[in-house]
Amino acid sequence: MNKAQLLQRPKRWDAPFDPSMSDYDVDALLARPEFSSLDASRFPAAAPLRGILKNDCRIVRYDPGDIIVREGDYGNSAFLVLSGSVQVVLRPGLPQGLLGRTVEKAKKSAFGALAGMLKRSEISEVRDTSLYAGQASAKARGRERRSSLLDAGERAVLFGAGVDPGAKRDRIPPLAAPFKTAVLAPGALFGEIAALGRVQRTATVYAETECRVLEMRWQALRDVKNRDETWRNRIEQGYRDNQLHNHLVEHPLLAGLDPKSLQAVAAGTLFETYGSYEWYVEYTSGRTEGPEEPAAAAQGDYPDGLLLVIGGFGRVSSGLGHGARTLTYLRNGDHFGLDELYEAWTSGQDCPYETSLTALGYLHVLRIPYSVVAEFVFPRIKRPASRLADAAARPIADDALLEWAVEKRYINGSKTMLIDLERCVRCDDCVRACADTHGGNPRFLRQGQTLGKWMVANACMHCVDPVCMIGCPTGAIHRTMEGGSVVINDLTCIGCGTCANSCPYDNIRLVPIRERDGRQVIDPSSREPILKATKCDLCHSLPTGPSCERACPHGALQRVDMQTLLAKAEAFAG
Amino acid sequence: MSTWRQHALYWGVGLGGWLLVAGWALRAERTLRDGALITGYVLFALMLALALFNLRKRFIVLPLGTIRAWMNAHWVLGAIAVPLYFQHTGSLWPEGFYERALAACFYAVTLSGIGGWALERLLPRRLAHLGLEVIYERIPSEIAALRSRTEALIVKASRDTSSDTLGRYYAESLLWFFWRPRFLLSQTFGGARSERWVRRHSAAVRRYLNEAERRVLDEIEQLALRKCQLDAHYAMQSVLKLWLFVHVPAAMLLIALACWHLLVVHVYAL
Repeated sequence: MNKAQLLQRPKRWDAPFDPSMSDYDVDALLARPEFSSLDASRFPAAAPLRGILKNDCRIVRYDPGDIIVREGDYGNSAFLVLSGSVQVVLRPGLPQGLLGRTVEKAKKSAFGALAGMLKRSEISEVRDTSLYAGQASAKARGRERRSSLLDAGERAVLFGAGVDPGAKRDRIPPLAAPFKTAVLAPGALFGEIAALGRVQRTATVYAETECRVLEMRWQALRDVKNRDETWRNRIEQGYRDNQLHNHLVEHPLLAGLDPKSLQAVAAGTLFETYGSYEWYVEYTSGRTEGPEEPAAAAQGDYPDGLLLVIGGFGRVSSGLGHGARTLTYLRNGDHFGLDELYEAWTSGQDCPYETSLTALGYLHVLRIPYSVVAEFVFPRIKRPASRLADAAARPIADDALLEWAVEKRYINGSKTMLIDLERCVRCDDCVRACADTHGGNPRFLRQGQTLGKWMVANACMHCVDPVCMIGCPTGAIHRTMEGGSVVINDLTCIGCGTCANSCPYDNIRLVPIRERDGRQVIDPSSREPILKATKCDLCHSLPTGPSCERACPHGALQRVDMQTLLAKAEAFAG
Repeated sequence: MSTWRQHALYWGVGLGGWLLVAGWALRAERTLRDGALITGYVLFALMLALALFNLRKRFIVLPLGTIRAWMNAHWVLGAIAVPLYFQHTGSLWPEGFYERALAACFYAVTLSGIGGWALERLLPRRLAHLGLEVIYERIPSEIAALRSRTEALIVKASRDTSSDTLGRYYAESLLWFFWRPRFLLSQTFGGARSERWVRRHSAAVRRYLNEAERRVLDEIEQLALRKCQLDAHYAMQSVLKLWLFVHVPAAMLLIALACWHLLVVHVYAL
């Protein structure tokens, strides 16, 4: 039998964000007003403030024109401007084509994918352990791609004809109309909402002058926010100032409102959160009974405002017999209470809620008071074509799929692996295809919960609210920059199992890794195997998309957004 | 593209292509040329194209369309190959040993293909309606687990009741049943022999049991009925896999024989 390969058990800061961060850099940061006011004694010994700054932060220098974050990207870090100035592109943002998105280049070519497939090993979970040792230095060499506005093909569109932005200058020229920008000076924090809320970046930010920016992993931001009130207030105020406006302006009901009206709406809007942000803990522990769902609005109560859902999920239900019947569920972009408020506005009489809205896990809503809605919204819209309560007219038997999806929280999935068991011939070509594209290791199990002919297989659903990303000490689990798939960076995964334990659907597995010659890799001190978290990565590096779906000869396997499926099922039943 | 449109497109193109080839061959016959050469070459090309499907499945990462699209094309091309074959041979059963071997292979591939097509439509529905989903390779271990649970129940009941009736029943009947998948033919065709066997044997022994033993027997019966479901899975999933063991080797043999046929025709007949 082969001897085991020894490898020191990885720890949180084995792979610092930037190994070149020095004590001098940390001292300089601690001298800045943003950090000097922090009480270092409030940080635990396991994660001291100095350690956070040194290991979870990095100082990045940008040249004029360099894009720091792009609108629509998913990011796991926030940024603090240290010197120089950066510009944030206001709505409407830059066209996608000008943002330097290089989706195709980021993916493997067909031949690259084929070569990768042919290299598959007969031994399961083989890793080149030399990469783990070298990954810190690789990061230090700065392999990350950085794009610049100056790289854009149609620079005239950005800067106007006759302007040569490439001419040597200290400051990039302002963007031409219709683009609008706002300057962020030293001390400004940006990207924090996307980092903490696990949502897409809402704006593109680029360097106006040569600048130095402190990039903080979301874990660092979380730790600092949780231990300092000033930072906490700053982040929440930032939300009101920036995100609230974006949520309002993006909502179809408020589309086209002039800035003054929008400001009035924003001023009257209340931000409310129901349920627990860490819903998955309660959900996992109380699977059989289901966690209690706090109500944002209760059937029979009189509405005082329009609710816009901006995060999490809400169950719309109405009483039936001795229970509550789920009529639909709401998520980001949906609204609640419009039917009743509109009725009240037209009839001049109070109309109670016909349905209830409860938090499925957590629910972020904006409550726009009735007076504001009556003044700015109702005069501009027609009577809603359908009411949420109309769903109660459908036969009870048609509820099964929806109730199941809500009860099991499959509504969270954006790419749920759904198998039609009446079409599936159990050939396992999907599993084989998955293994072929992942070095011989399938990343899902063709088993799972079933309802009638539907099976939700144990494959990562790439959730709207990816709770697996919460608590990852190294940021190894993250959303891809393009597409937003949730993937795991094997090089920085320390096998702690936080993600696997957090996943309410048991779709992440910890596997012991091996050397190419079959030797198991073990920790020399504990003599225990080194584990790595693995899961479906939606074949994000392949040009063809998920192999499982493409490999199904009968179209039985689909990667679906549950909302789309439920809408189809409802239309079919109707 | 919707499924129906895709089907319509494939069948439209396939039938159009077939008419073209058939017309071309007929016209060649009328002008005293050898139409069989045209249909033979097209048939050979079709066989290669059909065999490519198996190869395509092994290289899923290549951007050559989905396997479902290939599957649809496989059906259409396979269907077209049948009339083309009869046009080529001009008979149901040709003369000569070699030609008969070729024809036998063709029929084996065609009939197994049609059978597989039908099985893949019938059996998944029946599997879905069993209310139990299990991976084929895990069925033996699932059965072993049921056997262990049954044995544990019987040992406990024997201790508690100081009676060996259930033990005898297990040794004489249930052990055979729980040993491996049973009544496979009945399960494949949707029969209920397995369930009937379980209920009949339970009923036979029930009259000799006291109340406590009957409760244990009820539990054992539930386990046995679950075993019936596993047997059904085993039977149907086996059939879904086994038909390919006829179809694919026969197809390989057919191509090999066709290659030789092509060579012989070119050497001796042209």
